[in-house]
Amino acid sequence: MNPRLIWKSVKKEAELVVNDHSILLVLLAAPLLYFILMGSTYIKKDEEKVSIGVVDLDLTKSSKSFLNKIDATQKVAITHAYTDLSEAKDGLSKFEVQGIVSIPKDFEKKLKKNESSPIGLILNNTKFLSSNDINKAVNLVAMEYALDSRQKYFESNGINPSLAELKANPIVSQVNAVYNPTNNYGNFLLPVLLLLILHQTLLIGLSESVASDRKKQVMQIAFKESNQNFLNYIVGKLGFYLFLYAAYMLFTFSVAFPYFDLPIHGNFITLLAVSSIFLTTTLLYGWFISSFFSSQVIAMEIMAFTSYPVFLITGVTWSLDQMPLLLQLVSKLIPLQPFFEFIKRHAIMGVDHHLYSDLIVHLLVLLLLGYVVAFLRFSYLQKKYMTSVKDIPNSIQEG
Amino acid sequence: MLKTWPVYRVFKRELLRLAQQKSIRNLFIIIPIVVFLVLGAIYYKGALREVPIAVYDNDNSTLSRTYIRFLESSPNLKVTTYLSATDAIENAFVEKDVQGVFYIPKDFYKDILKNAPTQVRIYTNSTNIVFGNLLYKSAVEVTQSLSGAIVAKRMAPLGINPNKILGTVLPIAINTRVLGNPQYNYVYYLLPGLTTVLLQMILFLAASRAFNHEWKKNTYSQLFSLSEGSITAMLLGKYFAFMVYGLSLCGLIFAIIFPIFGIPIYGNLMHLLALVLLFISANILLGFGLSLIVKDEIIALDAAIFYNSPAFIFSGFTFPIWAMPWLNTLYAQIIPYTHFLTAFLKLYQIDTPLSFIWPEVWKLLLFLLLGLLMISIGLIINKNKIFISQKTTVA
Repeated sequence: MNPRLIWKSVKKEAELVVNDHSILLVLLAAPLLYFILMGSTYIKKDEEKVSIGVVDLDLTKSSKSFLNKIDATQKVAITHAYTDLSEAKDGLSKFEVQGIVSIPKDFEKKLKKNESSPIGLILNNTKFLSSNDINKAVNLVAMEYALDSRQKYFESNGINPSLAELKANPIVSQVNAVYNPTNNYGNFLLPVLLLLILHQTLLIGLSESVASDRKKQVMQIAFKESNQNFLNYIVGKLGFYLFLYAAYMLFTFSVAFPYFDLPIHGNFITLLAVSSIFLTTTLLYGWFISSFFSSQVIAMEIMAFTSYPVFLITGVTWSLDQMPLLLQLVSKLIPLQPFFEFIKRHAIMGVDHHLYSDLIVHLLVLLLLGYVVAFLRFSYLQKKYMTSVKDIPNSIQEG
Repeated sequence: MLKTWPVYRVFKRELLRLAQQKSIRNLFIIIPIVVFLVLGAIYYKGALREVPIAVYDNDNSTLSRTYIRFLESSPNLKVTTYLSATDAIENAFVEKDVQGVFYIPKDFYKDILKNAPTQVRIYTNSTNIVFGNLLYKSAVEVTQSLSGAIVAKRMAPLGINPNKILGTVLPIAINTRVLGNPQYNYVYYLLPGLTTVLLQMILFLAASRAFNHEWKKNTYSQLFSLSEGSITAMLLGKYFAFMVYGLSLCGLIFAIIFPIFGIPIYGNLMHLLALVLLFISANILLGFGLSLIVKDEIIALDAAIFYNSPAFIFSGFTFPIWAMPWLNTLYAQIIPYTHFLTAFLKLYQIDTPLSFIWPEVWKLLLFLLLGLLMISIGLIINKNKIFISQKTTVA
């Protein structure tokens, strides 16, 4: 390795980025704008006031009290009152409301006679989050009524109120949502979303640069300037990106995470060290893939469309073992997969190091793999360029 | 007759021009086929079943074992690990690869017999709220079932009319009806949304290079002469060609991807087609506008990617728009996909009458107007490049 040559290449790459408006936009403007735009989307972390429509055919004190209790729960709000079910269904179809609670006639009468009073709940399940929240709220209120009714029964049989309360609810389930106490959407998605933004902008920017090198036939010159040495070339080419994105990572963990109230329970130095391994691996992978493109446009387009599959295949939103075996294998080859899992265990869960060391090993294996494939590709291109130079008659070369 | 019509000539040329571009072949063939199939395959199982859980039975009584049997009978849960005193509950999520831990306390049975309060503690790994929500729901269901059965047993010796037991133990029965994906299937939920957002992205990106690419490749003069200098012929010819490509992509989504993954379409197909045509048109015109305003195709592509990439997040599909800060809700409104998605879900999943999607249709029509406005601005800004003289054309 020749530090002087590497430094020269790093400076050259920085110049290229500064002079190419497209790459500059992707590497400097996009990460910050996306952080603001997408990060702030989840700043409230969770939804509130999911709209419910009601059809109260009973119109009694009991039915009103039941609806008030639903309205008082944290995540839902009764926003529409309909006169009949057909009107309410139209409201649901127009997406005025996300769910309908319908109370039939004789609701109060049945309650007083200790008969089961069925109520109707219609859910718009085209969006799971709101549908789940309505379902949860209505069931919670119904459960309150159940406990109250049981208690009253025991009391009516001469049992004192405190014992009646215990008898009414023999088993209490206390659900603790660990690592995300309110089970909110923001804490679930934000950490990985911020890292995905960095990952994707890095890949798009790098692929544009490498594709541009190939198109302008600058790559063979860069090989030559690196004394045909892989390490000189690759460190020089990728060093600038590593430095820039290491700074972004530092910003993410020390500014963005605290700003969005996201926890970092593990050791900060370890976090940065593993992030550096991840970035290096991603850069090697990125260079290898980009070296097949000779058009900036195609490179950008393809990289832009990898965002959704790459994110979803990592198993962040859906269990990896529920996917087909082939996708599980592909997922394991993507550096983002062990890195997300590492962030989850180290930063969010704060588990002991022996519980995430396998992920560091996984990342190191991928780093080695990235190095090997990039080296093989470099050797291939080097050979190709040398052959093409040899093929040109000496007189032309001299000319 | 048709062959001499400038619009047709531009249309034919554009179809060929697009087919010859590697980038377009990637956008309309390779990327959608690979990405749609991968996205569908990720969620191919549809619903989450048998989420692995661990149980720490510190009571080891008849009742605690009954509780565990209740857990095992839930279709959502699968007891994969039994923890002992030596296991640390906080590490079980990672060490035992489970998503939840159920802790049954010591004297669980005795306490119930004594009417003393007892609590089953459930720890869910809520780093993923999909598991968190499912475990919460299942845990509450299982516990309430057993709890209700115990209460019913306690009531029997006190004398209760059998017809009143249910009304006393569970006075309010909830009859739930689920519209739009009653199966709670994740493929039905996510794949239509993801494929249609990619449809917007692909069309917008391709259209954002419709004119500036011609300038870059010096083929504009050919287009100009073929259209006989008529900008309307150029726009219409290109629009119809892009429409053909857009509809082919829709064919891939609705006629191939949906059947492969068994996604049902409940709504009227003609209504759906009309909506899709409007959506495609809005994106093509917006893309054309960008292409005419921004001369550098790479910068236009940057802008298109930047504008379109967050469309899914802002659509309110997975996180509602009303829960976003006002600036973000504003951004959501300026993306056609947001309005298309609402109308699309209404039509294809809820099967609403066409009149119920008018609010979204109006908004999409506004995007058409915006596209036309952008095109006009582009024509004014770059008039020297667009309205070239006949002399230049011949040269």
